Amino acid sequence: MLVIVVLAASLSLTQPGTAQQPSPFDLPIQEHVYPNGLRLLVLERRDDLRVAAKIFTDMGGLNEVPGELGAAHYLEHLMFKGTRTLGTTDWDAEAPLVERINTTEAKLIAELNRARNDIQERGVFHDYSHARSTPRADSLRAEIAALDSAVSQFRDHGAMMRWYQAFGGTRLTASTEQEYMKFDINLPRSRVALFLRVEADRMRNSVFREFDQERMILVEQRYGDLNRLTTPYYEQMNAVVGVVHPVFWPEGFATDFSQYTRKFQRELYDRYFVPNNTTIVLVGGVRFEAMVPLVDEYFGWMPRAPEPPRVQVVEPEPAAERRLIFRSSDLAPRVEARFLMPGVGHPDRPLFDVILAVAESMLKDALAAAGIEGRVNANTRVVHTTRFGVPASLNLELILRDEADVEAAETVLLATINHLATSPVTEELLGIVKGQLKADWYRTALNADRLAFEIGHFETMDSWRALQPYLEARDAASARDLMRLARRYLVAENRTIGVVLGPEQGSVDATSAAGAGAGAGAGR
Amino acid sequence: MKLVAVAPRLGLALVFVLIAPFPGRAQVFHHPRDMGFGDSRFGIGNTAMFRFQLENGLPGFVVPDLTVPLIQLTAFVRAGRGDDDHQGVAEMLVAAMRRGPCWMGASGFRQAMNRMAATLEIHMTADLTEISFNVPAEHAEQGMRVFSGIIREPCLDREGLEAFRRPGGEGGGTPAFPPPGTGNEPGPLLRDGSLQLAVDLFHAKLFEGHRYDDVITEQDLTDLALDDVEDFHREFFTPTNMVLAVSGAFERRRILQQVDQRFADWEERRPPRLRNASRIETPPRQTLRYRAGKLQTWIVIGHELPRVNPRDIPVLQVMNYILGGGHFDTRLFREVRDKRGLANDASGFLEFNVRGPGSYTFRTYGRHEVAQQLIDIIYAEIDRMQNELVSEEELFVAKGALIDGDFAMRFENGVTTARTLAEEFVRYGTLDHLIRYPDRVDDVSAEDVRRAAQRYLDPERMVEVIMGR
Repeated sequence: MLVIVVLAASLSLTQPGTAQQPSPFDLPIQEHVYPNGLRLLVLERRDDLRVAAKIFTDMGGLNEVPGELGAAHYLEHLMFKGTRTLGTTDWDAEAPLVERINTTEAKLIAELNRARNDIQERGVFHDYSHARSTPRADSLRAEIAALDSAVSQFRDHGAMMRWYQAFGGTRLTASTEQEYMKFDINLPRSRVALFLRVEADRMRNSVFREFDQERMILVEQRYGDLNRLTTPYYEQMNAVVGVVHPVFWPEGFATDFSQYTRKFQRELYDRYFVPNNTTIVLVGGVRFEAMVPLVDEYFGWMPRAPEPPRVQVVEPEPAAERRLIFRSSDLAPRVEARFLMPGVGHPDRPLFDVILAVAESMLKDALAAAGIEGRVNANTRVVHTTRFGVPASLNLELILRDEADVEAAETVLLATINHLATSPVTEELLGIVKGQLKADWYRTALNADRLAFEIGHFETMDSWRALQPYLEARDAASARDLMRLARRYLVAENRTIGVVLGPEQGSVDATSAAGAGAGAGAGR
Repeated sequence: MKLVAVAPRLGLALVFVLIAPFPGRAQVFHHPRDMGFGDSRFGIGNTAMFRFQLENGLPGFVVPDLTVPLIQLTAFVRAGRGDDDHQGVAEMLVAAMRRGPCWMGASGFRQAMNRMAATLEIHMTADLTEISFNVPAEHAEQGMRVFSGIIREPCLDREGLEAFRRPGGEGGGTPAFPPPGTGNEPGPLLRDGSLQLAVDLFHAKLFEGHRYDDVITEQDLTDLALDDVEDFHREFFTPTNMVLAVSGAFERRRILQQVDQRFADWEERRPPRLRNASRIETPPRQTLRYRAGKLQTWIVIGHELPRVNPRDIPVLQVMNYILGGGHFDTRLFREVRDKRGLANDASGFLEFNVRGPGSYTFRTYGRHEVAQQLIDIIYAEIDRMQNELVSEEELFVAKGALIDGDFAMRFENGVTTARTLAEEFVRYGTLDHLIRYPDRVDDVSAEDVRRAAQRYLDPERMVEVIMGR
């Protein structure tokens, strides 16, 4: 039996302030890179009874193609469906059925290619629900459904989660963003081998079961996104801010979900889930010397694979201010300015965290001084994520109570941004902001799971080695640095303005107009 | 029942060793059951070393944790929404505490919080209030002063009252909903929809007319008097009616000196009148329908959870863990998501209160056309829990998850340890139930689970909130 007294007693022996830290952001991370390219990062906290364990793969939404957006996220879901040894009651009996599904799907893809000019979607947005097909394609789909049903008799649901849970695993999650896919667990430290056993299996032997059921879960999650009033507006803003870069694309349009195939998912899986594209992060009560051979036991057998292709897209330099007018009867009126900014790895990126917080504080004061009722939403979010290894955007949004204030609010917004470029921020404000960023970081670092995420995330964006200098650069930011930043980036040519207003007076409802023209059958 | 005793009953080990396409090496495929994890079941040792009590009777727990230079101060108070005599009084006090100590002024408080980089969170249930203050260690002394001021001297003034009453303010934000459609009537069209809104509507219906009703009407706001809020604060915010949790990067002796300096002169006037709330007699099953112009239908199904003896909580949690306990391998999750692709989630929520009834709800959401299927599956799985024994494997997984997972995580670090001890003490006045929790979970049998399902679930008395098309 483990007892918490052990933890507390060891802590209580240490006097405050006696920990000698060369930097307030000291991160004693230890690294081992295996011959097959797998990277292990360990941050020991020897008093911890548990360990936060994460496995990051350097792939995500950036690696998708238009028409199959959301495929990386879908792959993450499929990787919960088990392997040849977990999730099945009889792999020997199941395997031939799985193979028949794959060959039948190959015939379906061939049929859809053959009939491409007959079934090609030629309508525009209000026609999208036409699911064109051919009799042979329908027949092949029915065959796959029947085979899927036959496979289900061998299904052992939940096996990829069950044993983690049985042995004390918590916070089991997975997520896929533009630049990474990760699987997480927090375990008693004596059971870290379970993480290695399950994740090595998931990485090499996933079987894509319940393919169509899970496709509908993607639809459900997308519906959940679209139920939020702000989603359509933010997606339109992303589409205006970014011209070509996939970082600005959403996690799949409704028309994409029906396009996913096992073949494409398998190609993604085989290409990216290789040891030389993978990082394991452990934070907690484990010892690095013990972890190196243990990880080797479970992952060392994997051969190094060809280096996966990397996204080479570069967002072109904007030449003029862009402006979006979004009309909505539900969304609160607002005005927003977005600016393209560099990604993690660029020396200017840490300063954007500082200028963001400074701008937020100044905008709150400026709104109050102007007598405008509203609130400030300052962030660097694109879709769900706030940091990227590629250029993304800094977003300053004023959400207003009264639409009549939109024009005045835009004046306040632009004047505040201009002030950042022309006058140094006060040392007092800068000190407050840096103090808050530092405290926020400590709140992150206290939690082993959140710290492990930051380490892995930096590795996929740039390098885990960039994390500590990133934090130190924020802490060293000067008023002069921020003014230079504002003059370089917060300029009109790099700006996209978004304005949310109510419906135009006397406007014709687009949906009913389109419906009248398109005739019966259009729309969902 | 110990893990080592259970494992053999799960069957013989299946060890797979497949030859990998890499010379001389093979992937390891031990089944997780056979990896030798049988010797760890989390338990609590001596907690006396964490305990302190001031001379005025204020108890607390102090747990140093030097991981990062932060200090966490938390106060649990035996007072909640159900303890006031006029609707909105307790909520108004929370709003006042968020404006800081009276001697600082709201503006001075905001500035001080910014300068210290401190955070304040206040959470109030029907019978408990949690005030959490987090501050960098370098500001420990000032932080302790502000923290005690928030608790002891919140600013109960007219300005705060008006802010509370204002539309969009903390008190004025309670929406007034039109009456629902019942039976098969479609119900009124809401401007927005969400699972949280459906949960709020469920609670409003369940606790309608009860002390734990948390809906604040326009009339309640009009009737709200500062004197009532002052009386409420004076009665319930007293040294012996609260428990402190102190954790973070400090030296124990020094932090206790600061606690003493800020709280020891707080005199106990008289013990508060802690009343138990009556139970709810839920009428026969009823359906409340609302329309929302969204892409999904939200469903909340549930009823009252009577006051549960703390000794019975482990079996209830084991039962709910298997049925719908908020993870990826529950019976509900498998049925609605894995097997059928109907919904992203379907989970069961146990909401306990200490001095009165709570609720037991099942929540899910999905495209409109599958809503009825989702409801049917929830009832079918409840029926299975009440009429069939859970498997040994389900029991084994649930026990491991609750003891070595959820319970152990409550002692993950100094902050969570102090919080867990203080919350337990404020609820029950003892740590006995906490200390015995792992053994009580371990003792749960399949028959116990079935009995708990029969006792705490009643499909004939469910309130159904359906918000969709």
